[in-house]
Amino acid sequence: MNEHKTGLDTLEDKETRLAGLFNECYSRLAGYAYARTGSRAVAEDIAGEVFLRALKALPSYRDRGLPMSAWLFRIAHNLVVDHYRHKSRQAELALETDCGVEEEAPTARLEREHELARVAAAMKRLSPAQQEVIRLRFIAGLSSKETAALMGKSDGAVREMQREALGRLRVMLGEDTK
Amino acid sequence: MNNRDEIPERARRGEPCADDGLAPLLETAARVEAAFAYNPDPARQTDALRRFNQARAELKRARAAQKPVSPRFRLPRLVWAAGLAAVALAVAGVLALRPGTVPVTYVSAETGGNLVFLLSDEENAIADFASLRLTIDRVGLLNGAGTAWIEYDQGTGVVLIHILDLVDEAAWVDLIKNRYEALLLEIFE
Repeated sequence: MNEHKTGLDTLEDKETRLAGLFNECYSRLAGYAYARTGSRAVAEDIAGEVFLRALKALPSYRDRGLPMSAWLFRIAHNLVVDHYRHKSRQAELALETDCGVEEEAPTARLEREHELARVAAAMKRLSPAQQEVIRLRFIAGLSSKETAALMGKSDGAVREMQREALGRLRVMLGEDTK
Repeated sequence: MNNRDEIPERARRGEPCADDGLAPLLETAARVEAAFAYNPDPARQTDALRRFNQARAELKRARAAQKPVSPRFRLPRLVWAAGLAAVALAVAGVLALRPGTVPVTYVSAETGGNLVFLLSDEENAIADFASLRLTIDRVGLLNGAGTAWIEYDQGTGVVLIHILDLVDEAAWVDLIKNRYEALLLEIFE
């Protein structure tokens, strides 16, 4: 879908675009929130709430180079921050490992859970900005340009952080599996 | 496209890339993606979509219930803003040449005021605003010398427009009263 429109869309146009993004973005938003909160229930609440908040905020939304889908991730980020304002940070560490894969063999499930725990633990050793780059690029599926706009950094800086973060993750995961 | 930006796309496609030095990073990226692969609960997704559609329908109903704007005034807001700004500038321009002498008292801000400014340095922000509470009981438009062009007094509800070089007072009163007051009331009431 070509999301780049002029800043002169009517409210109805913007609503239609937002509705068109629901199926495409819901699971990505939930995945992003899950990586931040470690709770499936919270992640899916946040994914649903993002669309309700976006709907209310649509009159003030202007597309100035940041696609609406990336804007939704900014709302998700704000909701995650709100979530942690109201909860202790303990939940952040307790990652639920049931990722909704049905009829999974017990050994495969165990291996997947271990892998998730390993990757999540390695992620926590990155700087907060590097973690966010990895989440936005590889879990949310945003482009480096969109990630840069969301994080208030340059495209080049995001790519550099991405390279650095992946390099560090590789070392940590390599050490972990030895 | 810079090679580094190809990492996620190539990782998703499972492409090997032995020669460009990206292979190790691609492997790690693919591993992160696979570890955090997420399948939402279909029932919860359907419920979220239902709530979204319901909220959308309610907003649509609320908009339809609003008093329709008369076709006479159906101009883009930008046109109205430009028109009003032109009037303000015209008044200000005249007065700037011949500053008046009406003194203005500045009003200090206090907690629990009648206006809240929400401030953010993020474009399209919808949350995490800093807020500033102000009490506004008077609005003044000043020229450089600190004299007033326009004053609004909340206590009396009177807008005072200071016009120097006034030739025909009745014509000004007629212009404001019958042209701009009616339009502004229709727009903002």
